[in-house]
Parts: sequence; structure tokens; C-alpha cells
Amino acid sequence: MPGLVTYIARRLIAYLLTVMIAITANFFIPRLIPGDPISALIDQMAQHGEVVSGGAEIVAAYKEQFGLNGTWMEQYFRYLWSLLRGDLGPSIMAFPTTVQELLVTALPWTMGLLLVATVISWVLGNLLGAMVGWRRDSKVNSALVVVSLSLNQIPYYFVALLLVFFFSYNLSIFPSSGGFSLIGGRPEGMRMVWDILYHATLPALSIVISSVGFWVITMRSMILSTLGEDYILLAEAKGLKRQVILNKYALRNALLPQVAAFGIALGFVMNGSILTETIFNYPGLGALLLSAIGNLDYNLLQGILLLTILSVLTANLILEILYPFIDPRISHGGD
Amino acid sequence: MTELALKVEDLKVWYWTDRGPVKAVDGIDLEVKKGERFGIVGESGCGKSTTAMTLLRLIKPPGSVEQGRILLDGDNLLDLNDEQMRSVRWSRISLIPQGSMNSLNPVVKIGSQITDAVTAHGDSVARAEAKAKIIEMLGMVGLPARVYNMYPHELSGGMKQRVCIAMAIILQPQVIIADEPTSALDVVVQRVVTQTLIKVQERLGAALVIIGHDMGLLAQLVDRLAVMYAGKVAEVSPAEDIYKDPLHPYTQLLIGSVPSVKEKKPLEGIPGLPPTLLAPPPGCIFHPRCPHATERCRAEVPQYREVRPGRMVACHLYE
Repeated sequence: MPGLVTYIARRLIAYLLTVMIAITANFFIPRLIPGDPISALIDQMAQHGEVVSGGAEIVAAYKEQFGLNGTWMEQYFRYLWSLLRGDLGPSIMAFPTTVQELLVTALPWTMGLLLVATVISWVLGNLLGAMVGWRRDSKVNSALVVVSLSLNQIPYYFVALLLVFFFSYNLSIFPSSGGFSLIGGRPEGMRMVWDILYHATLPALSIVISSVGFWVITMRSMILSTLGEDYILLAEAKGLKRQVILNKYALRNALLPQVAAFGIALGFVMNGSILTETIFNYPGLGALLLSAIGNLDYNLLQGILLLTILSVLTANLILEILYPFIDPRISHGGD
Repeated sequence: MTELALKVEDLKVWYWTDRGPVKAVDGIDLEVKKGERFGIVGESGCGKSTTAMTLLRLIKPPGSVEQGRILLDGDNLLDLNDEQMRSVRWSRISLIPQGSMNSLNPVVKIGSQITDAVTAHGDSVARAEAKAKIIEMLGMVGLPARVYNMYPHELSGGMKQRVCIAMAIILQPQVIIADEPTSALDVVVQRVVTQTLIKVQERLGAALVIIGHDMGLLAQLVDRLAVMYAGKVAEVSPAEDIYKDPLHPYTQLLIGSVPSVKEKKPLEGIPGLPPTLLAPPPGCIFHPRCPHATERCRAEVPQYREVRPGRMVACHLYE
């Protein structure tokens, strides 16, 4: 399959170019925020009544330590060079902890929460959407459409707040914050898994509830437009069983664009996690990003954004490579 | 027991709208003999495609069959339950669709789509033999065996239509409905596909009902031709008679409006427009456009009957 090799090579080149542009933007945009982190830190210390002797020299010394000395262009190339070595630099706000260490701690939480919640939402939404589209005459299904449309319009942080209010504050069924129990020591083994799931339920639920409506609505309209196709009519004329028509002739075709949309949705979800994690005080990337912005921690900020961009781009790269295998009309372009 | 493969009696198919029923098919009678090629011709909106879909009971709401009988070898299709109808479809009456371009699922291989038709009606033995049979049928319509493993987008329009023909004959039904089988193809391909269709039909001995709007093309293909107008059958005659001696004034005008390459004559259109089927005119439905219309035509619906041997017409002129 020489076509496949060229196709993947092309995608990879496009991928690397995009990453390069992203890294560049990622470097310069945080630096457009007024102020610089070291001065902010010194100011903070001074406000707390601490005496900072030899201010200017200390600032200069620290700037060098964090790679903030020299012009922006010098800093940029130094940044690229350290990136190539896989070094994201030290965090400014949590010095001497490195950015890598912070990311490695936070990433599993965010990935676990978001990936699982998004997959659940996608599967559930598509199942419901297919059902609603397939049996349009049912009253329950019409009601479901209205519910989905409404859910689709409610911001996820509002859902999160409502969930906290009812299930944590009023009913005290689920914890209102955190990713695991802090009191009474950390449980081990299966108990730890349960503890994490228990804490993840509400945040995940808020993401699922606020995003499932989108999948229901889009899947429904995909099914409806597919059902209007001539090949569905011919499938029926062939005397195929309804189950076969649904699975092989309607669902299969309607799902294809949904798979593509899933890749795009992953990107939006990564961004969306910030408020969810803040509301639930979840120890993930979103919360980390927020404090990085607050503390003007350039290194951490760059690290988080880079990770987010890389994960979205990689997800899309994988989808692009897989897509021709699930949709025969898209070829790997052997020209 | 009967010479007839298909008999339609007083069939009415209406589409319900807010302003009342649109009487797309309003009381038609048709008889198709076994092994016969039968054409249904008419302009857009005359109910010919609705008739075709009704023969397979594929009319969807807001359309509904209001009355009538469709006898397929003696069994009234309108009396069958859904599961019985499902098993009748394709095994006894199949369809060559109008839009062959979109009639094949774009993401399923040709072989698999034809196999579906076999497995829906056959046992496991039929399944095992299906592939050889399908490749044989593809060969019969002039397609190479490799088409079995191809996707629809890899085929030309004419090839797709041949696939549809191969698919329609795979279970050797007694009746094949072809709804404008060549309307989306260019003239050269039309001819080849039509020849394939006729060849296959003759080998199978099935009755073929061809729906079309091209009177010249249809008259060359079929044994008998029904002319439909505004949801009713105007005339049914052997194809050779209908050109030489059209009976119904609508047929006469229709033939007059077809250009001829042999002789130079002024083309004549039919004055006026087809009536709205929401509120059809009283009496003969053609009377507002008919040059021979009388008072009687305006008041009384003409009976559809045999006026000469083998020639049926619904017109007061022949009473």
C-alpha cells in the first residue's frame, strides 16, 4: 500500500507544521500579558512585608534561572532548544518543581475524567439519537428531542453548579470537590479505585449531561437524512429485516460524520475542562492552568497549552489515518 | 391457474395534506400477463411512480392506499401483514429503482448488498451458494466478477444500473418493476442498459413493468402500454397499435408532441396544464384540455372499458 505510506507521511508533515505554529503562538501569547512573573513575585513578597534586599540583582538572577533574560527572540530559540531535549523548564510558581512533574501529576486526572466522560456522552448520545430518529412517531422520542435541545443550550458549568447544589449540598450523596478523599488517609487497591470513581461522578456527569444533547440532535438529523436516501428504500424493497436496514444501511452511514465530529469535540472538551475542574476543585490540568495564568507562570502555561494542543492534534491525526478504513469513499490518495 | 402475473383493481393512493387528499392514483385497473413487458407512460405527476411504489407497498405517510386490490399471482398484497409482505418483496416482485445513482449504499460492497437480498429470503444453503450465483448474475448483465468486491463509487452510472438489474433478478421473481430505469443515464448508455434489461427479462421469463415518460422509447420496448393521466389510466393498448391508431385524445396529443426524425412536421403541444389533484375537475379529468370535449365529458366520468379487442380506453367518444 504505497498510497497509505504517502498519506500518512503527508498527514505527519501537516501535523508537525501545525505543532510548530502552535508552539510559536504558545510562546509569544503569554508574554503579551502585561507584567513579568519575577517582578510580580517580588511585589507580592514586598506586600507581605518581607524585605527584599538587592531587588534588581535578584530579579536578574532569577530571570536567568527561568530563561527569561535576553530578548524575546533569544528566549524563543532557547525555548525551542530545550523543548527538543524534552525539557519544559522549571515552574515559576512552584519552584523548584519542574513543569513536567506538575503535568505528569495533573494529566491522568484530566485525561481520565474527560476521555471517559466524552466517550460515554458520545456513545449514549448516538444511541439515543439513532433511536429518536428511527422511531419518530413515538411520543417519548419527541420529548427526548426537546430535552436534548434544552440540554444542548445549558452551559456545562451551570450544570456543574446545579449538581453540586443538589447532590452535594442538599442530598450529600456525592462529594462536592476533590479527586480523592483527603481525610482518613488514602485508601488502597480497589477501595482507591472506588474512591476516585466516587469523586469523579459529579464532574463527569456535568460534562455528559451538557454534551450528550449535541450528539442526540446531530445523530438524529443524520439518521433522518439517511432514512430519506434511495438506498434505504431499495433495502426495504429487497425485503430486508428492519434490524438489518437499521444496522447496515442507516446506522453505519449516519455514524461516519459522528466519528469525525468526535475528534473535533475532543478539542473543545479539553478547553471546557477548566471551569469544571475549578468548580469541583478537581486536581487536573484545568485547575493547574488557572493558577498558572494567575501567577504568570510562563513555563507552566506553555507546558499545559502545548500538552493540550498536542493531544487534540494527535487525536485528529489518528482519526485522519483511521477514517479511510471506516469510510471506503475516502481513499488514502495514492496519486 | 391464471394467465395474469399482476392484476390491479380500482387502486386509489392518496397523499393527505392540510388542504385535503391529493389523489395521486385515483382508481386504476391494470393487468399484466405472465412474461409480458408492460409499460406505464405519463407526464410528471401523473401517478406512475406512485403506482410503482404501491405495487411493492412502499408508500409512506402522508401517502396511503385508500382502496383497491393488488393481486400478485392471485394473492392480494394489500391483505398481507408486514412480515408476509417482507417475504414477498424481492422473492416474488422486485424493483429496479429510479435513482440508481443513490440506490446503492455507498459504504457497503456490491456483493454484500446483493447477498443481503439473498439472505433475507433464503436458508443457509442459499447463503453458501449466493456468491457464485451473484457473480453469475453480474455476468448476465455484462459486469465482470470483480464488481462483487467493489464499492458503488468505483462504478459508472451505467454499471450501477446494471448492478441494480442483477440485484433485481437474483431471486428470479415473477414480476420486476422498473421505475424509469434509464432516466439518469445518457442516451448511449440508456440503449445498452435497456437491451440488457430486455435480454435478462426474456431469459427469466418474468413479467416486466417499465415506468417511463418517454413514449417513443417505451413503445419500442414493451408488448402493451398504459397511458396514465392525472392519476387515472387513459388507455391501455398493444404497443404497435398505440402509435398507429391512438384512441384516447390525450394519447393522440401526446404522440403529436413527440418530434420525429423521419418527417418534418410542426410540433404540437397539449394546451393547458395538468389539473391539480387536490381538486380534480368533474367528469372526465382530461376534459379541460381535450379538443373533443362535450357536455357529457364535463359531467360524467367515462368508464374504462374494452372498446376493441385488446384495447382499453376511458373516453366517451368510444361509447
